[in-house]
Amino acid sequence: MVKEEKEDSSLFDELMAKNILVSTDKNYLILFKNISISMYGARAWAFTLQQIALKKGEKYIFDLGYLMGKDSAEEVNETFKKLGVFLSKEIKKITSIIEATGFGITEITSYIPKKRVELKIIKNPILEFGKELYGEKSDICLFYAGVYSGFISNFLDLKDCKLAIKECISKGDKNCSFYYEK
Amino acid sequence: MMDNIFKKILMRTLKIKHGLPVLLNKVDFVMFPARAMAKMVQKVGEDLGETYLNRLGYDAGLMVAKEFVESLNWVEKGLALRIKSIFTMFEVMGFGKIDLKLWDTKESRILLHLINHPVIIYGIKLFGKRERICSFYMGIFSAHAHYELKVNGCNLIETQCISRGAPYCEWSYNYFKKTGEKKKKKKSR
Repeated sequence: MVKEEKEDSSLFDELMAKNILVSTDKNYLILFKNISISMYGARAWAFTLQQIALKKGEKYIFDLGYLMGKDSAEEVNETFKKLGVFLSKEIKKITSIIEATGFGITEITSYIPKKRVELKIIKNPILEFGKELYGEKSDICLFYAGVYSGFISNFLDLKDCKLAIKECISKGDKNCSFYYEK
Repeated sequence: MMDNIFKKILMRTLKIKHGLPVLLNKVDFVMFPARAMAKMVQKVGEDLGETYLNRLGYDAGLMVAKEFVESLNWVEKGLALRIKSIFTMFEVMGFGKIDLKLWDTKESRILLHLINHPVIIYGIKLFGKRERICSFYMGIFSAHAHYELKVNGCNLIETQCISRGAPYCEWSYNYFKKTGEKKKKKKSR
């Protein structure tokens, strides 16, 4: 129990302790000295995404996720460039960036440059709220498929990657996982 | 550097559990880069309209407001005393700096000034006067004012906006007798 608590707090504490998540002039959070952070109620976020999906459909919610993922990845890239930090294309670093920017804990389970990628979600409570609130009708995983596609297109040698759903917790699978093959 | 008091509030009130920030161990939050959020909200506003966006914000805000009241045991009686620290906590979480100018539950009136909202700042930077993000957050704030601050039926309107050169966004409900009074005054100058 104690161990779990320690692990849970580690990223946040680490970001704070290393002054990666701070504020310079205004009293809100800044990631990597440049990226302004804003928060949103987690259940309300699941609700917001589902409402938009119901109104505009599956493709729209995917594209919206793609827009957010791509922009977040680009902002991280711009920031590192400004700081003079070289960002290698290591898979582990990409999943760390996804986590630090608030899009959940993920793992890339398979990657063949320019050909194929598979990504598994280890922890993203928004998807669990989606399942809790909407059961198998939840469209929230489509939004995150878009988000992760945006990150992968930006960081890996797989431009225009559009992930498809392989497994989904709201359909009864243990984890959500996505894949893309060229 | 962040003020010490803000850092303390942050460390004390927010913990990460299962990869999400959790407020006071009870209410789950999600965090995003504000710029990406601004682009997303703007896109929805452009495609579905400001009325829809405002309503969506209201419904989402109401969910969070209910969670706050239920999980954190927020009762009306003690709220007035704690309002300043609650707003400080919100500021740290990226909801902007709120200056409550009038809060009248009897007459259901409210007037607030808002600055430093990271998503709105990006909205203005990226979209200028075309930005629709304020409508979304006005919906969220209206729900909180209605449910937590007991300003019944609160539906905030914008009476000044940073995107049009004001020093802050001014949102009000039942404060100005005629909606848009200030805008008319401005035009006649």
